[in-house]
Amino acid sequence: MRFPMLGTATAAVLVAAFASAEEAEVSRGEYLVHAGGCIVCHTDEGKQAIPLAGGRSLETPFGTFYSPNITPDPTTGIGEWTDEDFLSAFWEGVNPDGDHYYPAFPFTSYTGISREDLLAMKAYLFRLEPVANPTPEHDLALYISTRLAAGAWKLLNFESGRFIPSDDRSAAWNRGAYLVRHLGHCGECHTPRGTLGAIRNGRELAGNQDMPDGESAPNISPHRIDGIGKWSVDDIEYFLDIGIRPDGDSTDSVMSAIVDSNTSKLTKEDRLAIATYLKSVPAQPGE
Amino acid sequence: MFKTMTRLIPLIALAVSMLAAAEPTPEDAAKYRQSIMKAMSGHNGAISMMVRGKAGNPDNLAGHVQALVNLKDEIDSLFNEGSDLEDDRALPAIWENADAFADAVENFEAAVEAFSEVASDGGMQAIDAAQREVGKACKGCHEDFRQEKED
Repeated sequence: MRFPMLGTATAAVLVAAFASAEEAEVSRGEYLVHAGGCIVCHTDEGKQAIPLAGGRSLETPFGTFYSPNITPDPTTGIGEWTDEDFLSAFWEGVNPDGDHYYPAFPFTSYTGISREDLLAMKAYLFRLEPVANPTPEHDLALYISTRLAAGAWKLLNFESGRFIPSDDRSAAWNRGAYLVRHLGHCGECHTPRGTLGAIRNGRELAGNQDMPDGESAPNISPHRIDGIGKWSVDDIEYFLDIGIRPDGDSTDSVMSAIVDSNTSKLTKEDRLAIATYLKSVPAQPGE
Repeated sequence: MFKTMTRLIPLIALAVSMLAAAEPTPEDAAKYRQSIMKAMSGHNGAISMMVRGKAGNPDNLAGHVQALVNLKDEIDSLFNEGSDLEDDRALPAIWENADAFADAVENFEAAVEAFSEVASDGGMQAIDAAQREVGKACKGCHEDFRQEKED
C-alpha cells in the first residue's frame, strides 16, 4: 500500500518539476523575444494592433514587405511549426515550405542565436493567444518577386553559423556581442548597406542614411565626433533603459519604440553588456 | 516735427514689443518653445549626471529640480497654433490629436511632480528611479509629437 502512494507522490513531484521547468523556459523565452526586437516589426502600427499578429508594412527600395503573424494560429500564424521549422527560419533563412526568406527578416543576424534560446522563444510564442490575422503578400519589384532571387542573394551575402564566444574577452563583452550582433540585430539598421542591401561588415555600426520608410539610423560606433564615443558605458545603459541621451534630450521614432519594447525590458547587466560591446568596436568616421 | 517723430520711435517700438508679447509671431513662438525645451533637457541632463553619481554637487540638485517644476508649468502655453514651422520639430499631431497630446503633457507634469517629491526626501536610488520616469515621460511626448532628428 505504501509503495503505490509513494509512486503517486513521486509522479506528482516530477510533474510539478517538469511544469516549473517549462514555466521557466517560457518566461526566459518572453525575455528573449523582447531582446530579439520581435515586437516592433511583427506588430502593426496603431494603438489597437495586437502584439506579434503581424501586418506592419516596411517600405524599401525593393518594394513593400508585410511582417507575418507569429502568434500560434494554425493557418495565419506559426501554430503548425515544428522545432526544426523554427530553427531553420532563424539559422538558414528558410520557411517550413523550403522557400527562402528575404533579408527583411534579419536571419543574417539571427543565425547566431543558440538552439536553447530559440526553443525558449518558440515556447513563449506558442503560449500566446492564437490570433487569426492574415497578413498581405509582399508587394515587390518584379526582379525580386520570386523567392529564387532571395536564394541567389543568400548565396552571395549569407553564411549560416552560431555565435562563438571569444576566450580572450570578458563574459560581459561576449554577452554584449551576442545581443548586439545576433539577438538584438542592431547592425541591421545601424550598419550601412552596399549593393543589393548587403551589410557592409567593415563599417560595423557606422550608421545608415537609407533605411526603409525613409528613416535613418545614426552612427553608434565609438567615434567621438560622428558616433557615440563621448558616451560612457553608463550613459549607454541609461539611454537603453529610458531613451534619454547624455545631454538630457530624448530619442524618438523607431528607437523610442525599441527602447520601450526591447532594451528597457532587459536586465541592467544585459544593457551594460551591450554598452561594453559597443565601446569595443572600431570607431567609424562618417562618410 | 522731425524731433517729435524721432521721440515717438522708441514709444512705437515699445508698443510693438508689447503687442508681440501678447501674441508672438509663429517664428518667435517656435524659438521660445525651443529655448524652454533646451532648458528642460539641460536641467534633465545635469540631474541625470548628478543622480548617477558622475558629476555635480548633490547640494545643487534641488535647484535643478525646482527649475524643471517651473518649466513644466510653461508647457501649456508653448504650443501656439500655426507655430509648427517647416524647420521646427513640432508635428501637426499636437493640434490634430489635441487630447492625446494633453494626456502626454499631463503624464510628464505628473512625473516631474513625483520626482520633485522623491528628490526632496528620498535616497539616491529612489531619486534615480523617479528621474528615469521623468525621462520616459519626455520620450512619451516626443515619440508621437516631435519630428525625428536628422542624424
